[in-house]
Amino acid sequence: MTGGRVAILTTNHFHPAGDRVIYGGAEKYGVELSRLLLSLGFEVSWWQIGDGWQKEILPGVIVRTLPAAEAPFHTIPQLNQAFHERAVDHDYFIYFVTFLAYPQAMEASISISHGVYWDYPGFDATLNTEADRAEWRRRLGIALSGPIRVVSVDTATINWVAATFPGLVSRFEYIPNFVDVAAVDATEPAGKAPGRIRVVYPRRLTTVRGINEMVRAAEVLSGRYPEVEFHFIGRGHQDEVEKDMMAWVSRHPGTYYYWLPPEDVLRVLKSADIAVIPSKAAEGTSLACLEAMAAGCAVIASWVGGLGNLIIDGYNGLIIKPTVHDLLASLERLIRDEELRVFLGRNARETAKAFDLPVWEQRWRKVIQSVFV
Amino acid sequence: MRISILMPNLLLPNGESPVIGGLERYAWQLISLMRELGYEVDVHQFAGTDWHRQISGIDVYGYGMASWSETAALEAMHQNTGAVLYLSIMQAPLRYKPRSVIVSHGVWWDDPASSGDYVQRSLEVCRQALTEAGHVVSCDYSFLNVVRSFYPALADRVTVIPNFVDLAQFYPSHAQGNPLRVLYPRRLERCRGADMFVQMARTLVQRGYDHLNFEMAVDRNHPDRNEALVEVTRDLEAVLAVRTYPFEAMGDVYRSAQIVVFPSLCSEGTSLACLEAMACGCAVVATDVGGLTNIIINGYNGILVPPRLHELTRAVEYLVCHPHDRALLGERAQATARAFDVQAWKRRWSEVILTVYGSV
Repeated sequence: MTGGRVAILTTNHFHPAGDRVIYGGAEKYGVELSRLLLSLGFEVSWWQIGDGWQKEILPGVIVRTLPAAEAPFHTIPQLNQAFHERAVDHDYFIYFVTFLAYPQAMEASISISHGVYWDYPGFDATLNTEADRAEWRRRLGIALSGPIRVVSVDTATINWVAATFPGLVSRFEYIPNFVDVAAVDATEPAGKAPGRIRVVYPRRLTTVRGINEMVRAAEVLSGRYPEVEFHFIGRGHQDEVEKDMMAWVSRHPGTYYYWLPPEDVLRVLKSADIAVIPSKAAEGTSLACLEAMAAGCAVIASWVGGLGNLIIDGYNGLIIKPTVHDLLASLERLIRDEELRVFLGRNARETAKAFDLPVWEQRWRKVIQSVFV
Repeated sequence: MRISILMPNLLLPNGESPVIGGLERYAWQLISLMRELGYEVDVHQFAGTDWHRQISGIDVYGYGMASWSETAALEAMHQNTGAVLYLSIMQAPLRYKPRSVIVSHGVWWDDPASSGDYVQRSLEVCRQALTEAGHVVSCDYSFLNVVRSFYPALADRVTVIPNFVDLAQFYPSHAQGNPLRVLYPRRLERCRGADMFVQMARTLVQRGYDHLNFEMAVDRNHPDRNEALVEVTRDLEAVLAVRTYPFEAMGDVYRSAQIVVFPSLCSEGTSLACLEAMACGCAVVATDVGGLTNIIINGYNGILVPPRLHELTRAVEYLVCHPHDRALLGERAQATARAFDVQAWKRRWSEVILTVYGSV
């Protein structure tokens, strides 16, 4: 199959001012999807919110911008409208986030759900009345009905849709996230002194990712187990948060805070014994979790969103309620039980192969070939 | 101390014979655990008339009021009991007793044919259950995630305890089947996708797979449905058998099959039958519905497909044609099933029971 121009609409591949790539799972996803489309012979362009700049993210793949000011009810109808006017010379369309297909969807189009993002208490507060919540849900229902296929990275979203708009699930396709197993295998582990146990939290410093619970658990355990290192690797959304975190580690021996480019995060994960993914909400089939699994870490993950698609409690990781209490108990269990740690890590490595990048590409190829014809 | 279990039906409404199904097995497993912990246990259920039975040393009380009002029956149960445990979320309007436990067996209203009103009503039933009872034990993460997406502040009342399998009864055999057997081990309820299984079998036969043998191991709750099924599969009678078995025979039934299919359309938790098939080392094809996605990792320990005939057929056909992958998925299914050992389930449940009801 060759030919055809694909336009992908997203919110922010770059920061709206165009100056900084936001490292995160969704961005990595976008790059791999572009590569796959190129390999199938499509031309690819990206469209996002911004004030007129252009950027090339892969050879020949340009990110263009569209104006959009308002986001009523967690949708961006202005962006949708501008996209429909400007990208009209394209053949096929991908809405990189589901709600971007509101209120209209191009004919040969696919949308992507990266997971449920409305399951934290703060979200409810953004929609103050029952009428507002109904309007938001109505708009999301319209967005989900437009594209021919909705690719979902986890089954939590599909289950939510089935329990909210019964019948709509028939257009859903579950394609879990990927990990590049070969790249993980080829990565040299970072150094580690003998006898040390390394615990890594490889996420952004945000409430929904469970940073507060993790900090508290490290505070308790770093005093109790001098042989354990706690590494927090990820940026905060504001400078203040990052400064606070640095100040905190300076007061707690055995704790470390820094951030690294993605390939170096892998090095640390390869050297780690335990990785912690304690998300409280807004979680899909986390790339960070998959990378930690491929690196052979014993993973402690919360039962939120898509993590229950990756981890079977007691087989290839531990699943917990994201509370300080459960984090402490599970961390202590793994710190004390080397045999269990090794068992879980080994099974996690094996399981990760089912999410290898080529498998993901094969699944996506099927969807693309059924819709872009 | 006595704990009363409130549930729709442990015995049939006339009190004469046990209902056959996962809910009832769940009840017996929980009853035996509570007795091990030293509690006295009795069961209160809906019925056609008032009756009292003793079964395996347990008092079972049937409430005839349920024949015209389940709410009234539940109110009567409340009046006759102290500490209670609700074995499922009740559909009838009621006030749950505070400091009680409710068991959720998964999202039940996700039928594609559900009306918007039914969805709203079901969500309201969940909200009320979460608000009034102290604890909800869910058998899967799927229900919890749906609850959190609607009522984020209530999600903390949910504890997930995935379902169990008894590894002493369900273990693998090494027999290689010839002909290859494809098994459907579920009740004949519309949501379980029996018709999709039949159509899948018909398609594979038409494609010329003449070394396949299909078996539908179904329940005996509705003999008329079984007869109807035999009737509509008359054209396949040489290769497809409809049978019923006592539960004790199910280990051998799984061990006689190489491929086991769970074609559910909706209303699915961490299916006991799926865990049992896995523990027997069968290669499993399941739909990506509800809690099935919390036990099957697609391509690792089974195959997950959307609940659509075409994709179900393709997955089964793949396993028929790839004996090596079939064996590998079966081996890993068996390895993962060990994480669902009934002993682990009992440990988790003991914590909940002791926390909520206090020591004996």
